[in-house]
Amino acid sequence: MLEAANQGFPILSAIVITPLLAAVGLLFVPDDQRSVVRGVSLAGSALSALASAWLAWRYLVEAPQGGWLFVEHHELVPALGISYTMACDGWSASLLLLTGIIIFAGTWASFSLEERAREFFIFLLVLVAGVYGVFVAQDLFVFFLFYEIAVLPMFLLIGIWGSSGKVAAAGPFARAFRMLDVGGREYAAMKLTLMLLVGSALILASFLAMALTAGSFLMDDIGNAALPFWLQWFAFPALWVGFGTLAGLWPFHTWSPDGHAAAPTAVSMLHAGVLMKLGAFGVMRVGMVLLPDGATHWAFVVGSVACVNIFYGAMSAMSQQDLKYIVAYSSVSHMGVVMLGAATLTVTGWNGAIYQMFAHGVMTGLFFALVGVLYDRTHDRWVPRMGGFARIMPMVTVGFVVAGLSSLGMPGTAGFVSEFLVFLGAWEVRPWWAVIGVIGAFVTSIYVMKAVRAIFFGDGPPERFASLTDATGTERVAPWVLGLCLVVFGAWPKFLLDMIDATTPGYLVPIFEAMARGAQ
Amino acid sequence: MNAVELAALTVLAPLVVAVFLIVAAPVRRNGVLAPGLSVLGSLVSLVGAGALLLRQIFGLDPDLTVERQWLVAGGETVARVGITVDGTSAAMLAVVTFVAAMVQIFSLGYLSDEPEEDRGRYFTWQSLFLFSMLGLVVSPNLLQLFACWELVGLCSYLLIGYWWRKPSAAKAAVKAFWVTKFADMGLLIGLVLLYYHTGAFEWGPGAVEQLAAAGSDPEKTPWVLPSVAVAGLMFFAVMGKSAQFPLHVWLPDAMEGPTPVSALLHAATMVAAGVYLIVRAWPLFEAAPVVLNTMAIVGGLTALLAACMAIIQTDIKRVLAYSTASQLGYMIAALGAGSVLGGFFHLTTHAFFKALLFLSAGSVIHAVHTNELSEMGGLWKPMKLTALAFGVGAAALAGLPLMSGFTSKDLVLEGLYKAASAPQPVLWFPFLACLFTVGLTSFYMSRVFLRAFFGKSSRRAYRAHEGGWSMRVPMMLLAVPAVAAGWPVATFAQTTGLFEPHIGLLHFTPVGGIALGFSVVGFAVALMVHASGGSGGMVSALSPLGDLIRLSLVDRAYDLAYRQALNIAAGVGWFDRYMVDGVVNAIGALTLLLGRWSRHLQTGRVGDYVYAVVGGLVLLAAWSQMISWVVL
Repeated sequence: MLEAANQGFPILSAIVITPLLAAVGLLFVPDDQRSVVRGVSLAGSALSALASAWLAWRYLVEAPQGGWLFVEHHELVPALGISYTMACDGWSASLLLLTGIIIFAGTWASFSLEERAREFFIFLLVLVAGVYGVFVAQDLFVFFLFYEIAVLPMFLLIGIWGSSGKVAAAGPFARAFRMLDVGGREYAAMKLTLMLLVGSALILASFLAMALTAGSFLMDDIGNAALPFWLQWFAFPALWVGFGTLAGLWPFHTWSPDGHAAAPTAVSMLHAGVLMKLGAFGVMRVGMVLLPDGATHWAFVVGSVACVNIFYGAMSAMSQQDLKYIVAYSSVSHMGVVMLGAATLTVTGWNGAIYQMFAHGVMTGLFFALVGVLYDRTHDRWVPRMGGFARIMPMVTVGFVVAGLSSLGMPGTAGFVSEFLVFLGAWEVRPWWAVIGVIGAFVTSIYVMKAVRAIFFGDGPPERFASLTDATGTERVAPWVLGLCLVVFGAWPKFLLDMIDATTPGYLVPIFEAMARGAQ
Repeated sequence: MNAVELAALTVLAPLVVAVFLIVAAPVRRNGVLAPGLSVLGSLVSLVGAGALLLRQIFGLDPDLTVERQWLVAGGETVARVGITVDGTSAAMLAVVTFVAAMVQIFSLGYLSDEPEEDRGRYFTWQSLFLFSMLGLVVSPNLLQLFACWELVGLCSYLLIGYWWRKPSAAKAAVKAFWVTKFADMGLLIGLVLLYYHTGAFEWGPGAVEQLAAAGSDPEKTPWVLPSVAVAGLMFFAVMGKSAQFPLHVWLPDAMEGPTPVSALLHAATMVAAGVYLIVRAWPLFEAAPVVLNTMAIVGGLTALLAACMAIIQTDIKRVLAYSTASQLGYMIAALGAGSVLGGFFHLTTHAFFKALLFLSAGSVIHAVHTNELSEMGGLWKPMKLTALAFGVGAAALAGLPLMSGFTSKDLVLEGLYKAASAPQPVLWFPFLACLFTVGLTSFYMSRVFLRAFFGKSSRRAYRAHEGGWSMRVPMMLLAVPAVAAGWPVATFAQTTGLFEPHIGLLHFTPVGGIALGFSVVGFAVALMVHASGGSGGMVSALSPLGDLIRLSLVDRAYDLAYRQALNIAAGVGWFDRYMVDGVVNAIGALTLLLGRWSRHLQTGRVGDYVYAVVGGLVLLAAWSQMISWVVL
């Protein structure tokens, strides 16, 4: 991989730096010039999105058989084997594309933000730079650095711009929080950040153990080092739980409903749309590929917990009346599909898992964008108080139905492609995994259609909502972009799937070797 | 144009229209352009499909399949999409496009009072619906068929919920979606299983052999044979789609949609998909005799029960809805008895006469603004054409000689009789049930016909009048195949490759004669009841039976299951918020409380710190002394 390093324009670094540059630029824009603030942020996100789309296209053209492209390599601390190494494969390319789509749509969706917009966009852009970095970093040190850059701004974004309504701790210890004056969004922000940081601690410890044993932080070197089984036995579950916390892994998922409910629209979009994928990506790219013996040893546990995620998340979503909680729990359920695909350790399953990251990212981004539009107008998220909104908000209705269809796996939307591939892979390993996945998709159809009917159909809208309007102007961009992506990538999955599939078999080679070792 | 290009044109024309109408909102909101484009799309499809069928009949085209890669894994193809043209798909394409085109033209008049925007939405979904069904018909493999199958379900949801402002319509739409989606789990798992054993989604003999080989593999003894599992799971989905007992519950409620939607749904698209799946994937079903027997019994049961239900309905559309379920039972029973020709042929003739019945019922409803039979009556005078059309449809449904329904029903009964006397004693039940149902069918159709068009004129009948040309022409055109579609049965059998040597120009067997007897008796009873002043007594005598079937057994069970599921979900939700999250909160809260308590250690008073330092020194000294004791 390093042979071809540093040839040509460093496009990957450019993608990472573009949002950072925009963030720095925003520092020099006066806060009251809102249109300039918006323009600079949009330029940063749109440029990086375009670059990632170009990258995906180049990858398809130049590397139809897989492999690394656009490699950059600069030594940082040679004594410890730390380097700044960036490279792009099919997985990275597709997830960069996802990040670009979501940040582009998310920027448009935040244009209605009034309060301290400049600071908001600065944090948002920094966060996105971190996300881009994680997907292309090939060195665990840099990987972790970007990972933390992606996770930490969330605390401020939710703590400052979040909404407090209806977010509070439940249960016997709730009194303690009230006693200590912890507000709704502060509670949510703190819970999210602290839970993710506990995960980060596990990740850091495993990274150090892996890198120091292998003598290098470069992922390739670690993969080739054939780490001892005992180390893999410990490090894999640590990475699984550490990254998994961000991916909504049961039972460490409870930051997600409160966090997403409290977060402002664009933050929810980015967080559920992209950040949760960092977790799943980490489990697969670092945990499974670099620790193949650990992965094969723990695969059954990973897959079974993923089944719990799918079913439990779907049932929890069904029990909720708060719109954002419904969407947040559905994310928990859908991330279970990603983890299930990962746990199959098959080509179909892994293709499905990465495709599901993409599909779910776009789908949940669309959900949160529309919920944001709804909430901006109604200042209410309580589903039973709504009804008949299709009359006043046809565009929101259509968008919501499209997102819902993708989430329940309707053919013609991206959700079907990914879920079906995961089920195919799961059946090869354990048929009951696939059966639970299918049942989960059916439960999804119940809560999605229940919500659609309760919010948009029937009598109404209630009097106090009767004068509300449909999504207007800039608000229409995000639903259009995301909705189109869902349908296009669902009807013609070849573009994305070819890219993913070019990379998957190579990553599975060490896993198959480990399986053969384990079978002996 | 070769056959595949022609088929592509046929399938894609409605899709292009639908996509264009979805994207181009101003066109969609135009009250002339949107319906016009939609009808144009379906007419293009109709012409294409007609040409394809003619070329198939005269043997100008070989069977052709063109496929493109759709899903990959490890560089190998997992799934393909494409088009397959053969006698089966060409025949079905022609039926679907003809009925759909008639329904759309009828809708022009039927929905002329609706707001323009709603009408645009309606015709957009109609086009999408047609595309989905055509895509299903030309599917070369089961995955594409499944994808279109789901889209057909989605479009049904959208069209049943056309009047979404009415809570009952929204409820009926979602009910149809859930019930069919529930059944579709079977097809989805069946597909995954099929792929696991054969590595593809084909239905050909190769797949059957691989399934059989997988079943006889001594290494892994599955608890159910793969071939039986695949066929059984697929049949479960068919039960949902084709409204077989006990998954028929969505069909009567689907009447909440506009009547032309019902015509399309009941004749050529939604419910037809299930039967078509069995016809298409016949080798897979043929390899599982257990499933076939189950199919025959379920079909016979559905035919009988649904006919009983139809007798006691007072809503003209619900009578027709139950009659659809009943006729679908015939088709499923025929297929279960191994008579593919009977099932498939009945599907095509049924499509014509059921569409005709629904359109003429729609014409009546359009004129009198009610669905209730008791508020009709005496409509013969103002609406002679509609009455004739309905009469033709009813006669075909009841299986009068020379009508299309007669031939196809005869084939069904003949197939069942042959299989039962093969001997497969278990098939006597579906045969007798279907035979008896002929009488019931004739009775309830005669009852509706007499009730609506004859007898005392109701108040509403005085103001009733025929609809415009767009409503009259489709009825006239549909009446032609409703009568004559049964005549070219030999050609049909030859084109679809189902030819049996004993099939002549006009098919007639002794079984058909007995059935005709039942039919005549049913008509006579209906006439007697009508002459004696309405069928009120009959209905009330039978209604306890209906209540028993409908309410206590099926609908309540579903309601209960739904409510239980919600309860379980509430339990899971509670567990998550209070237990799983409770642990998180406990850790957080205890940490905070610990901090609050421990901050008292840092008081800021110098005296406290001096005490602490001195105390610490004393402890250290004591400790070092202790260590030295222990070590020494």
